[in-house]
Amino acid sequence: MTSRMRTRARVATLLSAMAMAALIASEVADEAQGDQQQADALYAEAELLLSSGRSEEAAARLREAIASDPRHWRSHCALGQILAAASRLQDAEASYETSVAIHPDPSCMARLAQVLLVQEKLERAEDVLRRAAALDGAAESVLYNLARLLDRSERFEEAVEVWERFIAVAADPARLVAARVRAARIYVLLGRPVDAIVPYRAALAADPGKNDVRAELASALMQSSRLDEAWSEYEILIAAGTLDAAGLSNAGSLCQLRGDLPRAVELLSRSVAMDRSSIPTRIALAMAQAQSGQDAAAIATLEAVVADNPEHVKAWFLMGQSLRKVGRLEEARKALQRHEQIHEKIMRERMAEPGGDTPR
Amino acid sequence: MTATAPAAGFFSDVTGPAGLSGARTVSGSAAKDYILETIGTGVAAFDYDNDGWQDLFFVNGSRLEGFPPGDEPVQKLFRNKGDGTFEDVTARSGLALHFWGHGVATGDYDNDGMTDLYVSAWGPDKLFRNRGDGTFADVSEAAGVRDDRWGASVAFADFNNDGMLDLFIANYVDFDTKTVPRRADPEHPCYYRGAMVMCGPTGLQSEVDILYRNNGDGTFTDATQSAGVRTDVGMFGLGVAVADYDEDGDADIYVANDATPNQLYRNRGDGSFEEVGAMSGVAYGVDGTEQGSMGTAFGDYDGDGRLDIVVTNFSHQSFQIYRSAGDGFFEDVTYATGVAEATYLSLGWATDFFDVDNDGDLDLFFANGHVYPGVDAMQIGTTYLQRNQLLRNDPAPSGAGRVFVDVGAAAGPGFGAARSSRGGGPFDLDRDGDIDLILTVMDAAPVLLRNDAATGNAWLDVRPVGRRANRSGVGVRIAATAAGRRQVRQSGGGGSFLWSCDPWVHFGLAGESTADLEVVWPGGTKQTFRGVKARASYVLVEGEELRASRPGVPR
Repeated sequence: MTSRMRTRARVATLLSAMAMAALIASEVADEAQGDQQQADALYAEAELLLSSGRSEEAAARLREAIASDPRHWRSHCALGQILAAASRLQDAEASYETSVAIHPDPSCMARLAQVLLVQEKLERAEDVLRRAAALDGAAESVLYNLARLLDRSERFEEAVEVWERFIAVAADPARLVAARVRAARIYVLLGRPVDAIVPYRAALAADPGKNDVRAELASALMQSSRLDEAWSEYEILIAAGTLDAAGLSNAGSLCQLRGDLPRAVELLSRSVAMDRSSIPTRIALAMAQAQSGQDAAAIATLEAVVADNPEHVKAWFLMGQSLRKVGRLEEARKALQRHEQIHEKIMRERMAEPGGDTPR
Repeated sequence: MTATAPAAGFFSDVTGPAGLSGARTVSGSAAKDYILETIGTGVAAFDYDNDGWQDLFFVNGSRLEGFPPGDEPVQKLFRNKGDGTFEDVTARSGLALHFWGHGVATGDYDNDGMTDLYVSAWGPDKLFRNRGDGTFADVSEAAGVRDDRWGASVAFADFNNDGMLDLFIANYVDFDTKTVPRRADPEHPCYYRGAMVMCGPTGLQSEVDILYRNNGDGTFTDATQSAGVRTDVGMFGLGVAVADYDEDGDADIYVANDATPNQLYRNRGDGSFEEVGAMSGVAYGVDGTEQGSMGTAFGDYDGDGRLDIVVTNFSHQSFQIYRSAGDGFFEDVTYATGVAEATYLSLGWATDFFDVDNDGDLDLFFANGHVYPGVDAMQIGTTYLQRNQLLRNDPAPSGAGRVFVDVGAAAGPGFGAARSSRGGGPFDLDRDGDIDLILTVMDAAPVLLRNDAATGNAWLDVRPVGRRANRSGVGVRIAATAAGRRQVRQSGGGGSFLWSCDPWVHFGLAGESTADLEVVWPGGTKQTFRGVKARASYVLVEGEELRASRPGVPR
């Protein structure tokens, strides 16, 4: 055999081996495609079963699908859903984890996070949700769960930022209203009442009948010193007759500031009638009574306050003023002296505090 | 009398055209890390050269890190040229001195016919004697008034009716950077509504106020204790106004204190005092708690002949109006007069009652601005820069009493701009019979607001000059009656915030052409004048006839 013939023979052997390898690979691929197609078919069947409430049969199909194609992430995820619905949380978690390990699908990650949240595995849940949010910043369920998680962990600054992201993409009207109210409440909690006003107003635009939310909006407007707007909301609530004692107290104080003293007396009286335990409201009532010339009524209100709290510095001051105005000068002098004694003690204590807060 | 309502837009900001842009003052760092940097500096309107025009003296501050040599801010004196403009005469006045000043009082303490200056400071206060030649001499040491407590507002008044002006200084905080934490000091953080801010005044050591008695020989004696000024516990004094509120012939003192109760010192008649603030109803806010009070003034806003009190406060406290009930007591009418709502978000400093439209009742102005540069981010409805306010005195809609209506927004660009204003007050810049305003602004040029209201209302000014009483005419009580309506005014004696002015007494007479005047001098001398012609200024020397006082003519 010449060397040329030997070379040709080696090439022919090599070509034959390559052809064989290609054939085997093709067969393997066909088989895998066949497994995936089979898994897809089983998954579709499971979905149909699930939609007709036959979850056990659906789970069986999904297991078959996974057996056919262990990387069929949709089946892992759907199986996790069935297990979660059956309260088999650890099994559900394992299925979801497998699914997202194969394919990090944001909606499946959201479901995984839900299961983790129920099991109080907050750290892992947050990690999953943050990854999901990074993959799809507009995924409603991811943002919803992440916001709830942060909210639960009292990380309100972060929570409200995620709630705002959720509000920007949310389509579910009920969830949207709830999210707006929650965001608003967090803003109030964070001492940012001005930021609370927009979500409160948006929630009320969707559901104007929510008087509890309107009362919160009115309070946030008061805290933001937007007094005219606050009063508009309180007027609606007063007309609706839904204000509780605290709301009536706020509305009454607002009237007083606006110089509408008769209305202030009326609202504050109603508040005190509802809840006699609030001494600040009783003091506000006495102030409004005195400012509108009802000094005898103010004295009666204040006598009741000092009976409950003999050290109430404001009560003694106001009582002294009203007693003087009605000509009971000796009693006025004693009340004002009592005020001075209590006040001097309070002031000395405050002045002794180094640095600290500025209570002005 | 018939009153004409002022037109909208009647205050013009004439700072630049008047030549006052260069009167810029300094009050520490922009960040306001210390309370020292937050109260600002004052201004006085007084006729230092007796030419008939009121000149302006601006107190200047400093900064803790100091200035390169030659760049130090100095006190400033601007001479009123009588044509609506001012000339900077600081360099030749002897007042080009660098120290951290705050308040100012003007008065002729040595009765030589020239108005002198007292300037409170962080560091030793200064008494500048007017030499009469356009220059001033620092006589603090020799006069015995070189107190180094941190002083705020100051008032000259004759407390013992001996014809010599005494001094009252409202002192604020015992401030030392070695003991007062800097803003955001991690070891001693101070908070306001959750935000880190400069510390104080609460938690800092307060200062005791000072009363100096004039010995009549160019010196003063510290009579604080013997006069009954409270020394057992200091308050955070910022504002002071002096007037005979109980009409017993002697000068009483009202002190506006920050974060501590305000004080009313009733003069016993011999220059000693009894503190009656709490018992008289003027120590606290409407609910019996102390306020963050800054400025204050006396004035009869309701025309009943009795002097009422206005007080500016911290934001969210509303400013206060105390109406004199006439029996030594005051009623808090803050809510009933509408002042509560109008000023709820304002943090006020300078204030005074003045008849802006010459309709015969006293209106109010408020110079506003917050102390915390970061307050805008706090979401509490208030801001660092604030609009000054002009409140017009109107009859209450109910027909009983008076209400104040904020007309500042319609009072022209002079009131429209938001600033961080501090000291100042009303004076007649151009002697045209309507009252103008000068206000200092933190770390900026002052604002000169010229009253251009064309109301057509009549007016009448009296410049009292004492003979037996103090020559400055501080404490003179004048009642003007026209068409059955009686107005009572008292001259001088501090008032507003970091402010002083010559004790002109001004009456708005609406449509009347004459008024009858009853004058009561400190010490009891009484004079009456019938049918005094309106639209004119007069000089009244104690015991003499009224003389016309024309602008530009030395008195």
